[in-house]
Amino acid sequence: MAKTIKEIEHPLYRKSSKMRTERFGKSLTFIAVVLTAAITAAILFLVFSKGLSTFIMNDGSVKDFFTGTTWNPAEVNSLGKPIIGALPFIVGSLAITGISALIAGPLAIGAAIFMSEIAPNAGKRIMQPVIELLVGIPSVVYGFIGLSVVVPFLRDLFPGSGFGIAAGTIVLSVMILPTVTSLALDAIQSVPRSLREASLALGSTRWQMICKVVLKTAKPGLLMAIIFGMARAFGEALAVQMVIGNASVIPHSLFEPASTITSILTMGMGYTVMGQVENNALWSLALILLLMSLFFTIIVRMIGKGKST
Amino acid sequence: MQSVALQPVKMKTNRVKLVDSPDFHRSSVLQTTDLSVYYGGHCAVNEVSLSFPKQSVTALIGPSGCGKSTFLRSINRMNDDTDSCRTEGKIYYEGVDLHSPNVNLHEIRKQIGMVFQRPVPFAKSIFKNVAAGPMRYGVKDKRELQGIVEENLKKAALWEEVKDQLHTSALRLSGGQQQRLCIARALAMQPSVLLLDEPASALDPVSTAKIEELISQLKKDYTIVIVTHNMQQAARVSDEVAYFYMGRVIEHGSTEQIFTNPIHEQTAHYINGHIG
Repeated sequence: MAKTIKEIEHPLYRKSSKMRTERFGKSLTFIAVVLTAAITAAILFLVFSKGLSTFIMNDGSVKDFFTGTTWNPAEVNSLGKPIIGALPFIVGSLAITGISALIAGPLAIGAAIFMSEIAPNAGKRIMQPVIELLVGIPSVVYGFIGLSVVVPFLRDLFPGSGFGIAAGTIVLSVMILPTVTSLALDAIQSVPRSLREASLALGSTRWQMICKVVLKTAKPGLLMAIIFGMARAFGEALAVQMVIGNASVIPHSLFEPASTITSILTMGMGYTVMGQVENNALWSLALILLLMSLFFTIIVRMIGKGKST
Repeated sequence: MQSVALQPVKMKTNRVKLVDSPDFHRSSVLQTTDLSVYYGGHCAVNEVSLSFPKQSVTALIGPSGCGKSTFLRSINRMNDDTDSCRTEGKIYYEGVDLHSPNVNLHEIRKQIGMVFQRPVPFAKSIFKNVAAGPMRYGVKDKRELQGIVEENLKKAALWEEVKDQLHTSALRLSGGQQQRLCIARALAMQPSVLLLDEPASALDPVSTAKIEELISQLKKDYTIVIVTHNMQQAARVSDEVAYFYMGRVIEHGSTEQIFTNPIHEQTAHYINGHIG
């Protein structure tokens, strides 16, 4: 065997500036990932520790939290536990999210069908920019419009002040409509042309093709669009708070003032001190929001997975 | 631009009076006279006159882009939905001009079935795929549907393979099975003409052989027009062959004549693999 070359001498062992750039690029992206993950973990930790401390440190009852109807964390009840009945807000949030999805879902799917199947040219030229514009409007603007148009309108038509679930639902439906429409449009447009042709070749009318083939095939995508809309509605605070009336009672009618988890959270934030029961109780509400959004994300992921197999 | 929505939608069969076309063969169920199809300014099919005899298989062959698929798609007016597509000339089905304004487009497609190059099963069960067409035309009785599904899956030589899994998703079938399912789906509409657009080009040799065998079986009851790139396939399954080039029919004759003794030199070149 030939004499072995010393490591330093052979050009293959030489260090070059390219290796340094390579390492630099790697570490840069790695830092970005670590930072993102760390921030997310920190937020999760903060919300969990603060949110759970209502029940651990302040002796709050989990059962009361989900079933109680009175919210007054500063006081304690006869058992010496803080009064933290969040049921009215949970009901308010779920009602407002559910009804908004019921209103916005069919409208959005109808609009998407029109844009993709009935008038694809006008849809692309007129409707698409309009929808993109609507997506970009800040929520405070929606809330302001709700406050100055929707609330007085409801006050004139129905008994009560006009503030309530109905007003919140109308504002939220309009707000999530563009998002749901554009996602539904994507879902419908991704149905392959070959499937549409196969349906037409069987002698289907265009409407039969839309109902039986296009919507059926796009179903997972349409569900996903609605759930995205629901997630947005559930987490929306400002616009809702402006029109819902903020009364912490279980709503018996759509036209009575009520409140949602988010509206109580934004209302209470400024008036509580870190570490006190009142503040911890708000963190518990934040925890609920976090878990709900996690729940929505998991559903979307599951639908997405089901679609690909 | 023609669109489906503009067509009169009448579910009742609308028998239009027989048009006296001068060279209409009594034996041919389908016939085109000077059919031209344009995409914008481009002429994809140029004055094609062909007639398709009853219960026979006609193969349309020719190099890619020669207009044979466009021609096939214009027979059941699938090109109506394509923007900027214009059709001139006549298509007669049982003597009826398919472009006459009173003809029901959906009824045309019911009687002239089509199977595409790639299998396109709907994202439904095998049963519902076959039953889709009849259900849309109002067959509701479960027994009747079951009969239709079984009969047509048998015709498409798929019954034995799927009879125990009728209610599983059609997407789980292999490509060859999916294509036979699509044939069964087309047959369930009780068409008299079947248009096959390269039905085996996306399939493996075994599935291809099955489809070819099926075509020979179906010939007894249906008039079949098949577009194919495969010369051996054309020779195996067809009774007549039409050779397309640049949107025109260069030669049309019996399969035996075209393959053994073509009149045009160009046809001979293509069949022997010199063009295309």
